[in-house]
Amino acid sequence: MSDSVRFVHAADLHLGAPFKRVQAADSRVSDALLVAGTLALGRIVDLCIDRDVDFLLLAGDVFDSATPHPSAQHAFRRAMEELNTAGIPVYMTRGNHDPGDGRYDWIDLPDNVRVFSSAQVERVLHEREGRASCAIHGWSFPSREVLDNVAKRFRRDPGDQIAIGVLHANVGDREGWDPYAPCSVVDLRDAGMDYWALGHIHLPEVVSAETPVVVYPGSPQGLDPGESGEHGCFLVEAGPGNATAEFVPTASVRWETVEVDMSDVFDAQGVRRQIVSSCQEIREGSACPVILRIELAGRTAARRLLTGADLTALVEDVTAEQMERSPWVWIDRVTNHTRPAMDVGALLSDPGFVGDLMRDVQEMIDAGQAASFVQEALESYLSKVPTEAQPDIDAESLLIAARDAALDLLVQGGE
Amino acid sequence: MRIKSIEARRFGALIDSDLSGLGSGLNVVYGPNEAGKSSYTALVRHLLYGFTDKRRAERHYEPADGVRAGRLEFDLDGSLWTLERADGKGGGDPVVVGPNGPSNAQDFLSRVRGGVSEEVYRAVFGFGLAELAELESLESIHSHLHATVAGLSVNPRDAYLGLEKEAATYFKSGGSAQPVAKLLRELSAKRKDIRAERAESEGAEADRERLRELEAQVNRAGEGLVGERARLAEVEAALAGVAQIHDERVALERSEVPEVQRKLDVLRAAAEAIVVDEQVLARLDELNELVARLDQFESARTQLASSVQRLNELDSANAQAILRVGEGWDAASVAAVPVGGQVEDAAEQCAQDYRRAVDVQAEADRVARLAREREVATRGAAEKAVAAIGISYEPGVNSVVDQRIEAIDRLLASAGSAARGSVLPLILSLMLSLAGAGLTGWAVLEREWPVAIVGGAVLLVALVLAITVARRRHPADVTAYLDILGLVDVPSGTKGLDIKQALYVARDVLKDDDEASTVAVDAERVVADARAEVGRVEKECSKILTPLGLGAVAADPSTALSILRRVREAQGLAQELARTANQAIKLRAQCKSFAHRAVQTGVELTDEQEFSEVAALVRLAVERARDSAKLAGERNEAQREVLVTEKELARLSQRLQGIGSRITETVEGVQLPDVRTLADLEAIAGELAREVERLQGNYDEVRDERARLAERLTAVADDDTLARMSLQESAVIEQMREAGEQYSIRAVAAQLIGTTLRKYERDRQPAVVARAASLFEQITDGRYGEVLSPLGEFELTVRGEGVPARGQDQLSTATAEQLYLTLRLAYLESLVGPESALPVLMDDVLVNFDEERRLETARIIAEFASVRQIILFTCQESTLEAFSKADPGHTSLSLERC
Repeated sequence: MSDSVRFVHAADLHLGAPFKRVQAADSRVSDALLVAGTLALGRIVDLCIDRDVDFLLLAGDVFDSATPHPSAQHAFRRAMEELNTAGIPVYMTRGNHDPGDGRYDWIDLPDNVRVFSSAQVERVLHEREGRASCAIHGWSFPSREVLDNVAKRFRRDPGDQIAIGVLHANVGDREGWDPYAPCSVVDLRDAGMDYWALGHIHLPEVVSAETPVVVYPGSPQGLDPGESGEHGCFLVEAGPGNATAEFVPTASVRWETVEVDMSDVFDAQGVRRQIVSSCQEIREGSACPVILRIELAGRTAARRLLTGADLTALVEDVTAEQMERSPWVWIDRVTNHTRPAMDVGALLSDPGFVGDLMRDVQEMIDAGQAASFVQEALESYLSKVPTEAQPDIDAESLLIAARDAALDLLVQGGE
Repeated sequence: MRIKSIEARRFGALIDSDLSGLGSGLNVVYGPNEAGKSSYTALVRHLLYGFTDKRRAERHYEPADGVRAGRLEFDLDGSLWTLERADGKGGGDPVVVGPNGPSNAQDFLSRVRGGVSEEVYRAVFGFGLAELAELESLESIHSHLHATVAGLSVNPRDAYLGLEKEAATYFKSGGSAQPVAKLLRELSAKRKDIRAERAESEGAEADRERLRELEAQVNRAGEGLVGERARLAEVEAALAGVAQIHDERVALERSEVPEVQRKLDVLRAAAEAIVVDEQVLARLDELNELVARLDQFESARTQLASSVQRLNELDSANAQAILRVGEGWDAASVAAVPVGGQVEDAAEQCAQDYRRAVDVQAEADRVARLAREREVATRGAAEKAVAAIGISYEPGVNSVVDQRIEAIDRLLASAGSAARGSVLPLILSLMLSLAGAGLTGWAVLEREWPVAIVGGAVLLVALVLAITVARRRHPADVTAYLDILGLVDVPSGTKGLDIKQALYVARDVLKDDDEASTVAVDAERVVADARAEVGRVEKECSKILTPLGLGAVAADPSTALSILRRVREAQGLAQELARTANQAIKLRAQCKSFAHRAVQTGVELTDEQEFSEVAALVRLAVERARDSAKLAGERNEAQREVLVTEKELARLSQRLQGIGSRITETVEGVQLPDVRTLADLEAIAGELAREVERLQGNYDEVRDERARLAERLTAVADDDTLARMSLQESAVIEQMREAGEQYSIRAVAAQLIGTTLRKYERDRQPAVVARAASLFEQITDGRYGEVLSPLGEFELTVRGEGVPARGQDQLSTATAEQLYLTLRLAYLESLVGPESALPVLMDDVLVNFDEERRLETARIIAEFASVRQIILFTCQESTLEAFSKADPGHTSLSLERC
């Protein structure tokens, strides 16, 4: 085997996935989002060709569905054909989103694409100039929910001079991500690989920089506002017992959420100034267009300016202005998380009605009754509106926000 | 806690006024109108909470000039504390001084205020008739009390209703115009579209599956078609093969076999007709070899002729060269001279050395002659020069001249010194000697021994000095110098110089004469050396040239060298002559060898024939042999063709025998059942042709359907409708979330206020209202025994025994004020925290009460004053009287009109 191999490691493209939790009312935003996934894939292909890599690894969830839309499949096939023309093989696994139990088979992929088996961990020898240059061990999800520790099935072959593991899994029981194919870093280390090409977690992370180097490349294109920051893939140089991974951005649209402090804001001009300043800061830190969520925070006397039609009009105005700049910044949503400009804690000892209200809220939270209270208060609404369209806010936070809204009226008189 | 005094520096009409002497418990302060009762009441609040912002809609008690300022004195747990404040930013900074000096104002104020907000203070702790008068209805009283006691600026009920109203702008159960309802409808429509699009997408998947099936069908149909076509082609080939075999047999029998037989006969006759000279043919290889060497022979022959001619030329040239060497030389003597570069180089070196030695000798002779001429000239000059100074020229004349030069120099020097000397030193020395002698003599006579010693010493020194001077004046060797020079007297200055100059000239001339003699001697020695060198070279040349036979001219090495060179030329020609002769011998031998070989090979040659004829005879012999070879080839070819034709005839015979069985094999080779004959084969070929046509039709049909599906799938592949719809769905959902969040916050806030309000009414109001009812019953002397406050409502109803329930509109102003006051007092009583110690200031709140109720109210207030300080201002003496009756021990104070 050769001394080292160079390859690109990507995962979680989720081709065909609808972008969620965004109000892309502007055609520039919707057009950019519609092509973002394909663009990211194209950038990965370009990187492979430009850097003359030995192969491309795709660690699961290439598609968002086991039966992806034809347009997603065709886009993927075109990219693979381009790599085939360049003589670059592709080794890919199926993840929990695109397991092997789809109703239809994927469209035929070119000969350079090798999809790992779901039946067992496969060992494939990658050949360069007619000789094996490294061994790639991979496994595909047979169905969506796999709760076994699949990493334990991986084992380096004594003949492997360079061994690479490709796995779609939740390493380290990460919260907020499906616990599929759960395993630990120790499990990965025990397998004896030189490099672990992981998938599943959408945020890029070098889980271990020591051998074996363990990397989540994240999704090449952020899929929703929760996937903020840079997204891309990793360019890897792996040799026997060592590997280096370099992050390469590929996203064409960036999601960002920024907290804007309104503590020192007293009027509409101040609100606008703070929001514009945040947009400018975000633009300067990004090479591509940004879809921005703003969370207004801090104790402020201007809370009444931060709700309703006034805020909506201000945000629309600022957004229109920001969309004319380059790269554009689309303010997708402004959430008011500000607190009343008063010592809310001190109100707990107020002997009057406000004190009672404060204590009532605290007692509900302490007793774990916030959810039931909110459920009762919103019973009619919740029964009408589908769950996915209901506010993404937990009961306690909602209760606190409601309490603050009440304080705005009761203490400050709605000034 | 007790307020001891209230001091107004500047506050409304109050300027440097104070109210002091306030006691704990009840304080009744009497003052006429414009005495500042309301101002003192307000001043306490301003000092506790800061001077009011001028933007607030209330009375601010601005003074005519200066800023608002005041001071309070407190008795706090037996210690005196003061609180001062002057109007300024943020209501003015409070300054607090405690028993130990300045203290933290905020800590003090927190302690004194006990957590009571300013609003609460205004409502309950520092109010006047004006505040009571603001409460125009029971509902507003009740609500306001709720709000103010709770530290609120709005009625919780209003807040509750406002929030519910706001929430309803987003969502209302059963409503259809609210954003949430509209978005729900929009979402439903979007999802319907998406489902339709997905169904279409899944249809595309089905199409793709169908396409795969069609691909398989096309492949199968194609394979079947190809197979059937192959079978058909095989059958048709078999049919064609049978026909071809038949035609082949006819052609063989009628045409090919007879023709081959005729060709065989002709070939046999032709082969027999060819006659070949085998003897000549047998020598063909040798002759060819001879011809191959013919050019070599011709070249040798030509070279031989040239060599013979060259021999003749060289022989003549050699004879001429020997003659040029010189007389007495012949070929033998020339050949005897050793050859080689070293000999010639030695002779050449010898000639060069001889010429160089002769040249050196000539130069030495010339130089010697010049030296001798110079010696003669300098000798004459020297003789003249010494004669001029009176000396004869003989050996040693040089030292004589040098001696005289030294003598004249010294003589001239002595004469100069004597001329420069004087007799004065000599006289002085003699005089000093006489003096010394005289002194010594006198001293001896006088026996003055020390003076005698000194005189002796002087005498001795003077004598030495005199002798030295005398010696310098008369040198002893001048005479000797004069003798050397042969003079009698010291010559005068000019003469002496002439003698000196003549002596110097003589010395220089003698020096030149010596040098010329030396040069002449040296030149003679060089001439002798050169002659000796010439002799040595002549001997060396003789040694070298004599062994070469040139001893006769050894004395002339150049001539010897010239002869030697001509010998070399003659020797060269002799050598070339020998080489050419050898070459001619070899060439002749080669030619003879070739001619001998030719004879052996059969070429008819005689000894008399010249070499020049050999080539033509050889070529003629070869030509004849080649003709025989050609005939032999033609004969062999004819025989081979006969054999070939015989085989061809045999093969045709075999083919004729095999054609019958081949027809059967071809038919059977199709390997179709029931096909035994050509007719069977023709029938099956027809069936196969029809099947191929049917399969082609099926294939075309499936392929067309596949093309249509592929086109549709390609269109679906580039269609982003579903993605756009999903994006729109996401937008609607997000809008719903936003609207839902706005709704939820307001709805939950309203629910929260409502819940707290219900609890508040349940847990607190009943006790407060019950106590207020009790107090109200006491004031009204039992007329109104009940105060009702229905749960969840904000209206109070009063009722008494025999008196129907009355709402706000049924009560008189004074009765309403009594109710408001009892409500305040009941709330005050319900407070149990640190705020319960805060003093209460009332400004003429009993002014509208009748005497009985005033007295009863005074009793109640006096009772309240037992646990807290109450300062009650009044301008009515009747009120004073009432409090005097109710609490005779109260503190009574008065104010003057400002």
